[in-house]
This record gives sequence, C-alpha cells and structure tokens, in this order.
Amino acid sequence: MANTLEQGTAAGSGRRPGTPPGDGGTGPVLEITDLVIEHRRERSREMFRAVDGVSLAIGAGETVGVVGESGSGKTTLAMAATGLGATGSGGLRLLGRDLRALRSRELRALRPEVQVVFQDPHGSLDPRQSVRSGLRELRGLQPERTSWIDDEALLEQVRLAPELLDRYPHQLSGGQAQRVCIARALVMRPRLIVADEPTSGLDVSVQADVLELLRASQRTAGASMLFISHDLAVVRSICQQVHVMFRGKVVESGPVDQVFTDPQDPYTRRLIEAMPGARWRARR
Amino acid sequence: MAAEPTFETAPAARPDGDLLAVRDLTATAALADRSLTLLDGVSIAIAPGEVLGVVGESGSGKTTLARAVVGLLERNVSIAGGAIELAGETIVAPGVGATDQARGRRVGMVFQGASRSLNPLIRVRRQLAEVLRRHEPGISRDDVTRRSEDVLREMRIEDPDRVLDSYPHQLSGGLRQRVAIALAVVTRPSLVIADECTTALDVTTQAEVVRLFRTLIDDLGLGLLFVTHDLMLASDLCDRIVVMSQGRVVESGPTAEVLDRPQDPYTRRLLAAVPTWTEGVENPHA
Repeated sequence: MANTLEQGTAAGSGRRPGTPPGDGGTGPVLEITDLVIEHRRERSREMFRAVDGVSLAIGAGETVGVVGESGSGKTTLAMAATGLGATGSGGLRLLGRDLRALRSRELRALRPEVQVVFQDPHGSLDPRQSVRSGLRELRGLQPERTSWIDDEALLEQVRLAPELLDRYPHQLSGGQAQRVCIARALVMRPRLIVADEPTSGLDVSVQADVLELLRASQRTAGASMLFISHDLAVVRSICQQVHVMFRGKVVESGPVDQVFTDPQDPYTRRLIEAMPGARWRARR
Repeated sequence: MAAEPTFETAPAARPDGDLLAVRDLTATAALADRSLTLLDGVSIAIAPGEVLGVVGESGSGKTTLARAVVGLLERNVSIAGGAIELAGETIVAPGVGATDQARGRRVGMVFQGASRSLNPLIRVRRQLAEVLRRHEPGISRDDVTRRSEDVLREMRIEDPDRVLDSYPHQLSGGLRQRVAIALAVVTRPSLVIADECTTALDVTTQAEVVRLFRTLIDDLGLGLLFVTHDLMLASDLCDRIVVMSQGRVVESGPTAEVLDRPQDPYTRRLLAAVPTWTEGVENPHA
C-alpha cells in the first residue's frame, strides 16, 4: 500500500510535473523569518500582534510542531503558512518562493503544494457531497496532479473501506471524516501538510489511529508537516522539532525530546507541569 | 449482584454512608422507529469527600448518567429500571422523578464550557443571588452579598467585587469556569456533578480548575462525580474511576488499580491510546 504513494513522489525532493519553478528541492519546504501578523481586536478595535517576530523552517520530510494555548497565535501562524490567511510582514517562503511577491496566478499554482487538515472534519466537508463526488470535484481542479491514484486505493491509504465512497459526511464518524480529509489532502501530493489540531475533537482511541495514519502517510508521501496543537504529548509523539508559542512569540524551540525533558523557558515548564496524567506517568 | 459484595470492585454494594448510589440503572431513548439503550445496568456509588471519575468516549453513556443524577434527561429518554439514591432517598426510579427542589440544593452541576452554566446577559452578582434566593427563599440581602463574595474567595478569586460586577464575557475562560463552579457550590450541595467541565479550557487553566476541585473536596467534604473523556485528567483528580463503554460500566476501582492493572480489554485499549510521553519519535534528519 505504501508503493502507490512512494511512486507518486518518487523524485522525493526533486521537481515534479506541475511543481512551480523556483523550487530547488534542497532548501526548506517552508521558511518563515521574523514574521509579524497584526489583527484588530474585535471589542477595543486596537491592533495587536497575533504573531510577533516568529521564525521557523521545515525541511523536506520533517514534522515540526507548534504548541501553545488559545491566543498564542499558533493558528494565525498556520494559516499564514498555507497562504490562505493574513501574511503580515517578514519572510514567508514556500518551496523557496516568496509568498508575498507572487502574483495570484502563481499563488494558485503553488496552492496544491500545501494541504490543510483542520480540527473539525465535518466542518471541512461539504455536507451535500458524497465522499466520491467531493473527490471528483477536487480531481477536476488538478487532473494531472491527482491522477496517480484512484479513489479506492486512496481510501485504502487512509484505511477506509471503499464502501465509504458513497457515504455523505453525516454518515461518517468523526474519525472516518478526518480520514477522508486526510485522503483529500494526500490526493494532491502536497509538499507540506498543515495540520491544525487535527485530533482535538476525536475520542482518544480514534486520535491514536489518526495520528498513526498521519505519521505513516506523511512519511510515505515524503511530505513535510506543520503540526499545530495544544497537546504536548501528541506533539511529542509525532514531531521531531517543536516551537512553543506564547502570546504571539516563540519562547522556546528545539528537538521535541530536548524541549520536553529539559525545558529552558518558564512558560514551557508551566505547560509541562499542567499536563494531565502526572501521577500516572510518574509510576510507569 | 448484591449477593457477594467485593468492596473495591462493586461500589454499589458498599455498606451505608453513600452520598450517591446508582443501582443497576437502565435508561432508554425513544427514537422514531425503535428504542435505544443508553444506560445498561449501571451501578456507581460516591461517599462524602470522594471523587469518582466516570471515564468514557463519545456514546459511552457517561453524560446520560450525569444528566440522570441531576434530572436533566432529554425528553425522549426514560428510566427503564434501577434507581438513584441521594443520601438514602430514592430520587430517580421508573416512574419516579424528584422535583427540582428535592435535589437542587443538594446537587450542583458544572457543564462543559462556562457558557452553558452562565447567563451571558446577567452580571455574576445577580446570577449568584438568583441561585441563592431560589434555594433559600427567605435569605437576606446582606447574606446574599456575603455568601457571594465568600464563594468567589473559595474559588481563589482575589477581587470578588470586580468579578461580581462583571458580565461573563468580560472574564477570562478560567475565571468564567470558576464562576460556574461557584454557582454550583454556593448553595452548599453535598454532591457536585461536573461533566467535561475542563474540556474547552487551556491546559494551564485546566490544571488550576483541577487543583481548585481538590481543595473544595478537601475543605467542604463534597462528593464529586467527575465525567471526562480524559483518563489522564481523571487519574490526577479521582479517588476511584469507573470506565464506561456502550452504556455499561466495564471496569471500576481505585484509580491506581484501574490504571496499573486494567482488567477489561476496553480499559487497556484506552490506556494504550494515550500518547506516550517518555519516548519521542526518531528524527529522520539526525
């Protein structure tokens, strides 16, 4: 089952048909330098920095976590990385291209390279479309790019039975719906998957399966992943690098084991201490 | 099931002194074409000063159980068998539904997301006053003020006056949930039901709420029924845990025992699904 995906990205970091020029394949897939994004507060109308001078880079095949609480700016950062949200000021390069310098046509060409998996899978799927017709619509947007795999094999990639192709979103469980969302991301053969709290609404046993699936499919597809979560244990289980965000700033970065076993920043320490399950972990 | 009481694993069979005893409770929901069993012979018990965690995934029946205890079942849900006793008095049984007054003062409830517990249009001061007056009709104005301030201080709120004069939206998420807990305990109930009450909160705020509950239990001797999907959270707070799946209790016992020596396959699966914290993934670039 891994073969199909690997063939799809056999070139690994090399250029593929449909890949915009400017991607040398050796540099970071995503490179953010000193990014500042301002929002206006709803109530007071004051400007504030949702993202305040953040730098991070994601190499080919790497999974980088951004962990933080509500209001930390992690989702604003994620949306900027997809080119869907506000881009603010500072460096924002996707596959070596400056997202802000691109014309809209070029941006459209680059867009399939980044696929997003959101927290609420049902909110991401059109309730009036069966899984199959939703996929047909996606394929219509990028016929060449998506022709590497058929629907049945694609569903097998995300461990869903082919019968589910004819289901509508409301007939899918949360875990099944999230697998469909992951399949819809994978069919585009993205270079970067941005996953924004992809398992937060799921039961813990379903979460474990979806995480395992994300891990496996991201590896076989050779895609990089920006993984946004409030859950330190989930981040540690899936990411190699982590950035801890607090009030728009990255307060600590590094390899997950280093950051989580030897945190330097007081806020990182507070987050770790607040993790539920300390009593249980202490006895294991 | 009352025949051979093994005290650790059969909580309903403990001798008297239970604050809450749910015995063999069965609840069904009437759907258009059939009836669905939501609770299937559930038995739990809580002693004063004890925290019982009810852990399960969606569809396990944990919320139906909590709602049955506080008398907030959906209209199409009915009790088909068994009983709920509060301090020895039957408050729920087939055909028996205790009135609000009978349980209102003795059972407090905290929901997921303070928005469900708090009225967004009313300042905190009036919400606390309304709860107090409903349960203690003759209470004086001074007593309302004093007890409102006191309960907020018990919630470790340092400036009760500011909070009392605030609307819910003017408070942070953590403060809102403290106010929701204050509303649940201001009438001095002997039992509090908390249903996923920290689920929408940030982890640091969640940790504060859990610490607060622990203090309240120890100070006030409340019994707490703590409903959660998070086994780890339950392990931090609860003295005993029952694990529910598909309307049944599949395992129950002291927290350490359930976590260290889970007997039921479902409990084992739940524990196995908790992300490991000790080993990270290997770095392909290392």
